[in-house]
Amino acid sequence: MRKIKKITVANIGKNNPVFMQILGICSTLAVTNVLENTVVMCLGLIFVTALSNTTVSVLRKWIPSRIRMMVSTLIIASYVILVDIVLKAFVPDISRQLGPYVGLIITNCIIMGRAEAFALNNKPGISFVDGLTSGIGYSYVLLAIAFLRELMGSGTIWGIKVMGDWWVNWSIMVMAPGAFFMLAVFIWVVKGKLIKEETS
Amino acid sequence: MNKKNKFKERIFMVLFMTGISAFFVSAISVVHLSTKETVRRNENLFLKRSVLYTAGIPFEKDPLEIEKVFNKKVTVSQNDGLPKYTVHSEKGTIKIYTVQGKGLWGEIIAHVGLFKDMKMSGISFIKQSETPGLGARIDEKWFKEQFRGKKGPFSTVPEGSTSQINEFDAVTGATITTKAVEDILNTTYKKLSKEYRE
Repeated sequence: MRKIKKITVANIGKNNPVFMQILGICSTLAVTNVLENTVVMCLGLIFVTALSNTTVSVLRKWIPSRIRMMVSTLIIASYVILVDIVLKAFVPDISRQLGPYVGLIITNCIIMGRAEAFALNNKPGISFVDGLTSGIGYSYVLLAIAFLRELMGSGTIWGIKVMGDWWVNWSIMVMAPGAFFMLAVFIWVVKGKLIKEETS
Repeated sequence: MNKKNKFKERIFMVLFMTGISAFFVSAISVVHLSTKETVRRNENLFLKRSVLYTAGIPFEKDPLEIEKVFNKKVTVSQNDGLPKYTVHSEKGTIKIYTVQGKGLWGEIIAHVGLFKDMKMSGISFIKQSETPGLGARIDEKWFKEQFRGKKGPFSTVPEGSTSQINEFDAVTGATITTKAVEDILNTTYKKLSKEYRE
Protein backbone atom coordinates (compact mmCIF):
# COMPACT_ATOMS: atom_id res chain seq x y z
CA MET A 1 0.00 0.00 0.00
CA ARG A 2 2.82 2.38 0.87
CA LYS A 3 4.49 1.49 -2.38
CA ILE A 4 1.37 2.34 -4.36
CA LYS A 5 1.15 5.71 -2.69
CA LYS A 6 4.81 6.39 -3.28
CA ILE A 7 4.57 5.56 -6.98
CA THR A 8 1.43 7.63 -7.41
CA VAL A 9 2.93 10.69 -5.78
CA ALA A 10 6.13 10.30 -7.78
CA ASN A 11 4.38 9.91 -11.13
CA ILE A 12 2.13 12.87 -10.56
CA GLY A 13 4.72 15.16 -9.01
CA LYS A 14 8.47 14.71 -8.73
CA ASN A 15 8.79 12.10 -11.45
CA ASN A 16 6.06 13.41 -13.76
CA PRO A 17 6.61 12.09 -17.28
CA VAL A 18 5.90 15.40 -19.01
CA PHE A 19 7.46 18.17 -16.96
CA MET A 20 10.18 16.23 -15.14
CA GLN A 21 11.19 13.53 -17.61
CA ILE A 22 10.18 15.60 -20.68
CA LEU A 23 8.64 12.55 -22.36
CA GLY A 24 5.62 12.44 -24.63
CA ILE A 25 6.23 15.98 -25.83
CA CYS A 26 5.22 15.22 -29.41
CA SER A 27 1.62 14.50 -28.48
CA THR A 28 1.63 17.28 -25.90
CA LEU A 29 2.31 19.70 -28.73
CA ALA A 30 0.04 18.07 -31.29
CA VAL A 31 -3.30 17.43 -29.60
CA THR A 32 -3.63 20.15 -27.00
CA ASN A 33 -5.28 22.84 -29.12
CA VAL A 34 -8.78 21.49 -28.59
CA LEU A 35 -9.87 20.11 -25.23
CA GLU A 36 -12.08 17.35 -26.61
CA ASN A 37 -9.30 15.70 -28.62
CA THR A 38 -7.01 15.96 -25.63
CA VAL A 39 -9.43 14.09 -23.39
CA VAL A 40 -9.76 11.19 -25.84
CA MET A 41 -5.99 11.11 -26.32
CA CYS A 42 -5.43 11.02 -22.55
CA LEU A 43 -7.96 8.24 -22.00
CA GLY A 44 -6.32 6.25 -24.79
CA LEU A 45 -2.89 6.76 -23.30
CA ILE A 46 -3.94 5.84 -19.76
CA PHE A 47 -5.55 2.66 -21.09
CA VAL A 48 -2.51 1.70 -23.14
CA THR A 49 0.14 2.44 -20.48
CA ALA A 50 -1.76 0.62 -17.76
CA LEU A 51 -2.46 -2.51 -19.81
CA SER A 52 0.85 -2.72 -21.65
CA ASN A 53 2.68 -2.31 -18.35
CA THR A 54 0.63 -5.12 -16.84
CA THR A 55 1.14 -7.41 -19.85
CA VAL A 56 4.87 -6.81 -20.02
CA SER A 57 5.08 -7.45 -16.30
CA VAL A 58 3.16 -10.73 -16.55
CA LEU A 59 5.50 -11.92 -19.28
CA ARG A 60 8.67 -10.47 -17.75
CA LYS A 61 10.08 -13.82 -16.63
CA TRP A 62 9.86 -15.35 -20.10
CA ILE A 63 10.80 -12.41 -22.29
CA PRO A 64 14.40 -12.96 -23.49
CA SER A 65 16.24 -9.78 -22.54
CA ARG A 66 17.76 -9.33 -25.99
CA ILE A 67 14.40 -8.97 -27.69
CA ARG A 68 12.52 -7.23 -24.87
CA MET A 69 12.08 -4.02 -26.88
CA MET A 70 10.51 -5.88 -29.78
CA VAL A 71 8.12 -7.64 -27.44
CA SER A 72 7.16 -4.42 -25.68
CA THR A 73 6.54 -2.66 -28.98
CA LEU A 74 4.38 -5.53 -30.16
CA ILE A 75 2.31 -5.43 -26.98
CA ILE A 76 1.95 -1.63 -27.07
CA ALA A 77 1.03 -1.62 -30.75
CA SER A 78 -1.64 -4.25 -30.19
CA TYR A 79 -3.33 -2.21 -27.49
CA VAL A 80 -3.17 0.96 -29.58
CA ILE A 81 -4.76 -0.78 -32.56
CA LEU A 82 -7.42 -2.06 -30.21
CA VAL A 83 -8.18 1.49 -29.06
CA ASP A 84 -8.29 2.67 -32.66
CA ILE A 85 -10.72 -0.07 -33.71
CA VAL A 86 -12.98 0.52 -30.73
CA LEU A 87 -13.13 4.27 -31.41
CA LYS A 88 -13.86 3.67 -35.09
CA ALA A 89 -16.66 1.26 -34.31
CA PHE A 90 -18.38 3.01 -31.43
CA VAL A 91 -17.57 6.73 -31.58
CA PRO A 92 -16.90 7.29 -35.30
CA ASP A 93 -17.18 11.07 -35.08
CA ILE A 94 -14.44 11.42 -32.48
CA SER A 95 -12.31 8.88 -34.32
CA ARG A 96 -12.63 10.97 -37.47
CA GLN A 97 -11.58 14.11 -35.63
CA LEU A 98 -8.56 12.53 -34.01
CA GLY A 99 -7.40 11.12 -37.32
CA PRO A 100 -3.83 9.89 -37.08
CA TYR A 101 -3.31 10.88 -33.45
CA VAL A 102 -4.55 7.61 -32.01
CA GLY A 103 -2.05 5.60 -34.00
CA LEU A 104 0.63 7.93 -32.74
CA ILE A 105 0.08 6.76 -29.16
CA ILE A 106 2.46 3.95 -30.16
CA THR A 107 5.28 6.43 -30.48
CA ASN A 108 4.67 7.97 -27.07
CA CYS A 109 7.92 7.42 -25.16
CA ILE A 110 6.14 7.33 -21.82
CA ILE A 111 4.67 3.91 -22.55
CA MET A 112 7.93 2.37 -23.71
CA GLY A 113 9.75 4.13 -20.88
CA ARG A 114 7.50 2.67 -18.20
CA ALA A 115 7.60 -0.80 -19.72
CA GLU A 116 11.38 -0.71 -19.87
CA ALA A 117 12.08 1.01 -16.56
CA PHE A 118 9.34 -0.41 -14.39
CA ALA A 119 7.28 -3.30 -15.73
CA LEU A 120 10.25 -5.52 -16.59
CA ASN A 121 11.38 -5.55 -12.95
CA ASN A 122 8.13 -5.45 -11.00
CA LYS A 123 5.03 -7.49 -10.31
CA PRO A 124 1.90 -7.08 -12.48
CA GLY A 125 -0.28 -5.38 -9.85
CA ILE A 126 2.16 -2.64 -9.02
CA SER A 127 3.06 -2.25 -12.72
CA PHE A 128 -0.59 -1.62 -13.48
CA VAL A 129 -0.66 1.13 -10.85
CA ASP A 130 2.54 2.59 -12.23
CA GLY A 131 1.15 2.67 -15.78
CA LEU A 132 -2.12 4.13 -14.62
CA THR A 133 -0.55 6.91 -12.56
CA SER A 134 2.00 7.73 -15.27
CA GLY A 135 -0.91 8.13 -17.64
CA ILE A 136 -2.72 10.34 -15.16
CA GLY A 137 0.43 12.40 -14.58
CA TYR A 138 0.65 12.93 -18.33
CA SER A 139 -3.04 13.66 -18.68
CA TYR A 140 -3.48 16.42 -16.16
CA VAL A 141 -0.58 18.37 -17.63
CA LEU A 142 -2.08 18.01 -21.12
CA LEU A 143 -5.53 18.98 -19.95
CA ALA A 144 -4.22 22.10 -18.23
CA ILE A 145 -2.36 23.14 -21.37
CA ALA A 146 -5.30 22.30 -23.64
CA PHE A 147 -7.68 24.25 -21.43
CA LEU A 148 -5.58 27.41 -21.68
CA ARG A 149 -4.80 26.99 -25.38
CA GLU A 150 -8.41 26.48 -26.40
CA LEU A 151 -9.53 29.34 -24.18
CA MET A 152 -6.99 31.80 -25.53
CA GLY A 153 -6.83 30.51 -29.09
CA SER A 154 -10.50 30.01 -29.86
CA GLY A 155 -12.26 31.67 -26.93
CA THR A 156 -14.11 28.42 -26.28
CA ILE A 157 -14.05 25.53 -23.82
CA TRP A 158 -15.19 22.15 -25.09
CA GLY A 159 -16.44 23.96 -28.20
CA ILE A 160 -18.71 26.25 -26.16
CA LYS A 161 -18.08 29.95 -26.43
CA VAL A 162 -17.10 31.43 -23.07
CA MET A 163 -15.27 34.58 -23.99
CA GLY A 164 -17.36 37.61 -24.98
CA ASP A 165 -17.17 39.54 -28.22
CA TRP A 166 -14.43 41.76 -26.81
CA TRP A 167 -12.03 38.83 -26.89
CA VAL A 168 -9.66 38.62 -29.86
CA ASN A 169 -8.49 35.07 -30.47
CA TRP A 170 -4.78 34.46 -30.23
CA SER A 171 -4.41 32.38 -33.36
CA ILE A 172 -0.87 31.43 -32.43
CA MET A 173 -2.22 29.52 -29.42
CA VAL A 174 -3.90 26.88 -31.56
CA MET A 175 -0.87 26.46 -33.79
CA ALA A 176 2.23 24.46 -32.86
CA PRO A 177 4.29 27.43 -31.56
CA GLY A 178 1.59 28.19 -29.00
CA ALA A 179 2.10 24.72 -27.55
CA PHE A 180 5.81 25.32 -27.16
CA PHE A 181 5.16 28.55 -25.29
CA MET A 182 2.51 27.05 -23.04
CA LEU A 183 4.57 23.97 -22.23
CA ALA A 184 7.66 26.04 -21.51
CA VAL A 185 5.73 28.36 -19.22
CA PHE A 186 4.18 25.36 -17.50
CA ILE A 187 7.52 23.68 -16.89
CA TRP A 188 9.00 26.97 -15.72
CA VAL A 189 6.23 27.60 -13.22
CA VAL A 190 6.19 24.05 -11.89
CA LYS A 191 9.92 23.61 -11.64
CA GLY A 192 10.69 27.09 -10.46
CA LYS A 193 7.92 27.63 -7.96
CA LEU A 194 6.21 24.42 -6.93
CA ILE A 195 8.89 21.80 -6.79
CA LYS A 196 11.97 22.92 -4.95
CA GLU A 197 15.08 21.36 -6.41
CA GLU A 198 17.18 19.54 -3.89
CA THR A 199 19.96 21.93 -3.02
CA SER A 200 23.32 20.35 -3.38
CA MET B 1 28.10 -27.52 -24.23
CA ASN B 2 28.20 -23.74 -24.10
CA LYS B 3 27.68 -23.51 -27.82
CA LYS B 4 24.68 -25.75 -27.58
CA ASN B 5 23.14 -23.56 -24.88
CA LYS B 6 23.58 -20.47 -26.99
CA PHE B 7 21.88 -22.20 -29.88
CA LYS B 8 19.01 -23.21 -27.63
CA GLU B 9 18.66 -19.66 -26.39
CA ARG B 10 18.44 -18.34 -29.93
CA ILE B 11 15.87 -20.87 -30.97
CA PHE B 12 13.83 -19.96 -27.92
CA MET B 13 14.07 -16.29 -28.82
CA VAL B 14 12.74 -16.88 -32.33
CA LEU B 15 10.01 -19.20 -31.12
CA PHE B 16 8.99 -16.78 -28.37
CA MET B 17 8.73 -13.85 -30.78
CA THR B 18 6.83 -15.91 -33.33
CA GLY B 19 4.46 -17.24 -30.71
CA ILE B 20 3.73 -13.93 -29.07
CA SER B 21 3.27 -12.22 -32.45
CA ALA B 22 0.83 -14.91 -33.54
CA PHE B 23 -1.08 -14.52 -30.30
CA PHE B 24 -1.44 -10.74 -30.45
CA VAL B 25 -2.11 -10.64 -34.17
CA SER B 26 -4.91 -13.18 -33.85
CA ALA B 27 -6.39 -11.32 -30.90
CA ILE B 28 -6.44 -8.08 -32.89
CA SER B 29 -7.82 -9.88 -35.94
CA VAL B 30 -10.71 -11.25 -33.92
CA VAL B 31 -11.58 -7.75 -32.69
CA HIS B 32 -11.17 -6.33 -36.18
CA LEU B 33 -13.38 -8.95 -37.80
CA SER B 34 -16.06 -8.66 -35.18
CA THR B 35 -16.30 -4.87 -35.58
CA LYS B 36 -15.70 -4.73 -39.33
CA GLU B 37 -19.39 -4.65 -40.14
CA THR B 38 -20.06 -1.82 -37.64
CA VAL B 39 -17.16 0.23 -38.95
CA ARG B 40 -18.32 -0.20 -42.54
CA ARG B 41 -21.87 0.70 -41.60
CA ASN B 42 -20.63 3.81 -39.76
CA GLU B 43 -18.70 4.92 -42.82
CA ASN B 44 -21.66 4.36 -45.13
CA LEU B 45 -23.96 6.21 -42.81
CA PHE B 46 -21.49 9.09 -42.63
CA LEU B 47 -21.45 9.40 -46.43
CA LYS B 48 -25.22 9.24 -46.66
CA ARG B 49 -25.60 11.90 -43.98
CA SER B 50 -23.11 14.04 -45.84
CA VAL B 51 -25.01 13.70 -49.14
CA LEU B 52 -28.33 14.60 -47.53
CA TYR B 53 -26.75 17.56 -45.73
CA THR B 54 -25.21 18.79 -49.00
CA ALA B 55 -28.57 18.55 -50.74
CA GLY B 56 -30.15 20.54 -47.91
CA ILE B 57 -32.58 17.75 -47.04
CA PRO B 58 -33.37 17.66 -43.32
CA PHE B 59 -33.06 14.25 -41.67
CA GLU B 60 -33.49 12.61 -38.28
CA LYS B 61 -30.62 11.18 -36.26
CA ASP B 62 -31.95 7.64 -36.46
CA PRO B 63 -29.84 5.51 -38.85
CA LEU B 64 -32.85 3.65 -40.26
CA GLU B 65 -34.59 6.92 -41.00
CA ILE B 66 -31.53 8.25 -42.84
CA GLU B 67 -31.35 5.03 -44.84
CA LYS B 68 -35.00 5.39 -45.82
CA VAL B 69 -34.75 9.03 -46.92
CA PHE B 70 -31.54 8.32 -48.81
CA ASN B 71 -32.94 5.34 -50.69
CA LYS B 72 -36.07 7.26 -51.64
CA LYS B 73 -34.41 10.38 -52.98
CA VAL B 74 -30.90 9.52 -54.10
CA THR B 75 -29.42 7.50 -56.95
CA VAL B 76 -25.69 6.81 -57.09
CA SER B 77 -23.56 6.75 -60.23
CA GLN B 78 -19.91 7.21 -61.13
CA ASN B 79 -18.12 10.31 -62.38
CA ASP B 80 -14.38 10.10 -63.21
CA GLY B 81 -14.12 7.12 -60.89
CA LEU B 82 -15.67 9.00 -57.98
CA PRO B 83 -19.22 8.55 -56.74
CA LYS B 84 -21.79 11.03 -57.99
CA TYR B 85 -25.20 11.31 -56.42
CA THR B 86 -28.38 12.52 -58.06
CA VAL B 87 -30.88 13.82 -55.53
CA HIS B 88 -34.51 14.43 -56.36
CA SER B 89 -35.62 17.12 -53.95
CA GLU B 90 -38.60 19.46 -53.90
CA LYS B 91 -36.40 22.29 -55.12
CA GLY B 92 -35.37 20.36 -58.23
CA THR B 93 -32.74 17.85 -59.21
CA ILE B 94 -29.42 18.24 -57.44
CA LYS B 95 -26.21 16.60 -58.61
CA ILE B 96 -23.67 15.97 -55.90
CA TYR B 97 -20.07 15.51 -56.93
CA THR B 98 -17.23 14.10 -54.89
CA VAL B 99 -14.35 16.52 -55.36
CA GLN B 100 -10.86 16.61 -53.91
CA GLY B 101 -7.89 18.92 -53.60
CA LYS B 102 -4.81 19.70 -51.60
CA GLY B 103 -5.19 21.30 -48.17
CA LEU B 104 -2.51 22.51 -45.77
CA TRP B 105 -1.65 19.14 -44.21
CA GLY B 106 -3.35 16.70 -46.50
CA GLU B 107 -6.09 15.95 -48.92
CA ILE B 108 -9.47 17.62 -48.64
CA ILE B 109 -12.40 15.64 -50.03
CA ALA B 110 -15.83 17.20 -50.20
CA HIS B 111 -19.34 16.69 -51.48
CA VAL B 112 -20.47 19.62 -53.61
CA GLY B 113 -24.11 19.82 -54.66
CA LEU B 114 -25.26 21.78 -57.71
CA PHE B 115 -28.72 22.66 -59.00
CA LYS B 116 -29.45 22.76 -62.72
CA ASP B 117 -28.54 26.46 -62.91
CA MET B 118 -25.18 25.66 -61.22
CA LYS B 119 -26.19 27.31 -57.97
CA MET B 120 -24.86 25.37 -55.02
CA SER B 121 -27.20 23.38 -52.84
CA GLY B 122 -24.49 23.00 -50.24
CA ILE B 123 -21.10 21.60 -49.36
CA SER B 124 -19.90 19.00 -46.89
CA PHE B 125 -16.37 17.88 -46.10
CA ILE B 126 -15.89 14.15 -45.88
CA LYS B 127 -12.17 14.20 -45.33
CA GLN B 128 -9.88 16.95 -44.11
CA SER B 129 -6.88 17.07 -41.83
CA GLU B 130 -6.53 20.83 -41.41
CA THR B 131 -5.27 22.46 -38.21
CA PRO B 132 -7.83 21.95 -35.44
CA GLY B 133 -9.18 25.30 -34.27
CA LEU B 134 -8.05 27.07 -37.45
CA GLY B 135 -8.39 25.38 -40.85
CA ALA B 136 -10.58 22.64 -39.45
CA ARG B 137 -13.24 25.28 -38.88
CA ILE B 138 -14.27 24.75 -42.52
CA ASP B 139 -16.16 21.79 -41.11
CA GLU B 140 -18.22 24.07 -38.85
CA LYS B 141 -21.79 24.94 -39.68
CA TRP B 142 -21.36 28.68 -40.23
CA PHE B 143 -18.80 28.01 -42.94
CA LYS B 144 -20.72 25.31 -44.78
CA GLU B 145 -24.13 26.98 -44.56
CA GLN B 146 -22.94 30.12 -46.36
CA PHE B 147 -22.62 28.21 -49.64
CA ARG B 148 -26.29 27.38 -50.05
CA GLY B 149 -27.67 29.19 -53.12
CA LYS B 150 -24.32 30.61 -54.13
CA LYS B 151 -22.73 30.30 -57.54
CA GLY B 152 -19.06 30.15 -58.51
CA PRO B 153 -16.40 30.84 -59.62
CA PHE B 154 -15.74 32.24 -56.17
CA SER B 155 -13.57 34.85 -54.56
CA THR B 156 -13.08 35.16 -50.81
CA VAL B 157 -13.77 38.03 -48.43
CA PRO B 158 -12.77 38.46 -44.76
CA GLU B 159 -14.71 36.41 -42.23
CA GLY B 160 -18.21 37.72 -41.63
CA SER B 161 -18.50 40.11 -44.56
CA THR B 162 -19.86 38.05 -47.46
CA SER B 163 -22.63 39.75 -49.44
CA GLN B 164 -22.37 38.73 -53.12
CA ILE B 165 -23.52 35.51 -54.74
CA ASN B 166 -19.98 34.66 -55.84
CA GLU B 167 -18.20 35.39 -52.56
CA PHE B 168 -17.61 33.38 -49.44
CA ASP B 169 -16.24 34.14 -45.98
CA ALA B 170 -12.62 33.16 -45.48
CA VAL B 171 -11.58 31.47 -42.24
CA THR B 172 -9.48 33.90 -40.20
CA GLY B 173 -6.01 32.52 -39.56
CA ALA B 174 -6.39 29.79 -42.16
CA THR B 175 -5.40 31.42 -45.42
CA ILE B 176 -4.08 28.28 -47.05
CA THR B 177 -7.10 26.18 -46.15
CA THR B 178 -9.46 28.86 -47.43
CA LYS B 179 -7.50 29.07 -50.65
CA ALA B 180 -7.68 25.28 -50.95
CA VAL B 181 -11.47 25.32 -50.67
CA GLU B 182 -11.65 28.15 -53.19
CA ASP B 183 -9.44 26.22 -55.61
CA ILE B 184 -11.43 23.03 -55.23
CA LEU B 185 -14.71 24.82 -55.94
CA ASN B 186 -13.39 26.87 -58.84
CA THR B 187 -11.81 23.84 -60.52
CA THR B 188 -15.09 22.01 -60.13
CA TYR B 189 -16.97 24.88 -61.74
CA LYS B 190 -14.47 25.09 -64.56
CA LYS B 191 -14.67 21.36 -65.22
CA LEU B 192 -18.43 21.22 -65.13
CA SER B 193 -19.35 24.45 -66.89
CA LYS B 194 -19.26 22.79 -70.31
CA GLU B 195 -21.41 19.91 -69.20
CA TYR B 196 -24.00 22.27 -67.75
CA ARG B 197 -24.12 24.59 -70.77
CA GLU B 198 -25.23 21.81 -73.03
